[in-house]
Amino acid sequence: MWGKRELYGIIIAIVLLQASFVLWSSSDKITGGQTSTEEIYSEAQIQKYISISMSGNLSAGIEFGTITALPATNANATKNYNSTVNDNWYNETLYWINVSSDSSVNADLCVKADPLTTSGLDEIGLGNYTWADNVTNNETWPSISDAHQMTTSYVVGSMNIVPGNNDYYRFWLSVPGGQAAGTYNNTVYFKAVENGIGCGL
Amino acid sequence: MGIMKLAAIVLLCLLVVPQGVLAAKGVGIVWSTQTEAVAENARHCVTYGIYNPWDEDVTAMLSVSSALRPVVVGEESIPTFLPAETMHEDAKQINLCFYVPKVYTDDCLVGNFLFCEQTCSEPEVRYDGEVIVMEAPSGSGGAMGSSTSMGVSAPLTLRVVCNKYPRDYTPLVVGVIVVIGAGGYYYFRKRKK
Repeated sequence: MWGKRELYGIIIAIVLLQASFVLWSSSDKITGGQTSTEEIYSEAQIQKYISISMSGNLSAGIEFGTITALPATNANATKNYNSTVNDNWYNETLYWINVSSDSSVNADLCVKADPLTTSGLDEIGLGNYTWADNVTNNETWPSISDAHQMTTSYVVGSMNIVPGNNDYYRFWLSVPGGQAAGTYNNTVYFKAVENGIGCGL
Repeated sequence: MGIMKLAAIVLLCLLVVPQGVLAAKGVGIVWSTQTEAVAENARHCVTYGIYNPWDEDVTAMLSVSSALRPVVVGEESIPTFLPAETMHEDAKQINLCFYVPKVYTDDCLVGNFLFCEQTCSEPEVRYDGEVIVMEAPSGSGGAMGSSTSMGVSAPLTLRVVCNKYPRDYTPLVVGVIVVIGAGGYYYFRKRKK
């Protein structure tokens, strides 16, 4: 059995131990004297948004009609030049993309395509399929002198397009002599990205 | 006279306004993050808004670029109907979830499971890609040429967080206690006999 002295000793030791622990754990609170701190939660959220639409003619597809004379060089897509000539319209292209005014950032527009093939897998090389874009739309612009070849990876066209504005397109197709007869189809993809971040794959 | 005038105005409008100006459809994306810190062996979701501020309904699909595809959870390309004139404030919220597997190798003394530590000395693992909202391709059915498809994208980087931890000797301590316990048990049992 414990004697009285041992029992008091143990109790005192426990009290001292407890007190030193409390002092140690609260030392940061008592060394500063009469100070008080307040924590104020701060938050800022940055939100971005971007939207585009295609003109009805671009949405309907890019058609080259029936090409009968081979080789064909830079055959125009059917809506490259608006045949209506009046005070308001003079041979403009009917292909465009609009960056919505409900966008918060300027846009870069990127274009890519799948291989141009027939159902029998005859193929016209994408190097023969070219496009140009410009923020100006008239008989001269977009011009074939600025044309890019279609590729299966995105290539950037016009950059830094301000919301509410259009980017206009023309398309051309060259067909080598000896190309197999058939109906050649593919899909052309248009993508808008925030200005300066790159088109991605 | 009035009808003739009206007909003339309508005809003039049809001549002057090019096709395609009257109706448009499009897609949009709203994003609130471009970089996310994610843990290993954990699911992490990011919310995107998709919208169509134009005057025609559209069906859009959310997808991710190839760099993010290995870690995306489930089928992300579910077609979503977007009514006309859905502005960005009313964008439909789509939750895109990712599951990042264990990418940092533990330094273990036995096999790859005992007495392990993680010093995070390997380079940070990142998945750089983009989240894309695309409209389904349209146009050019049988004619020579191309159907067209449009989309908008938002960049996304997933940075995989490495959690440092010291070598874990718990199995050794447990083992020693078990051995001592078992030894003591047999010793006292033998002594009793």
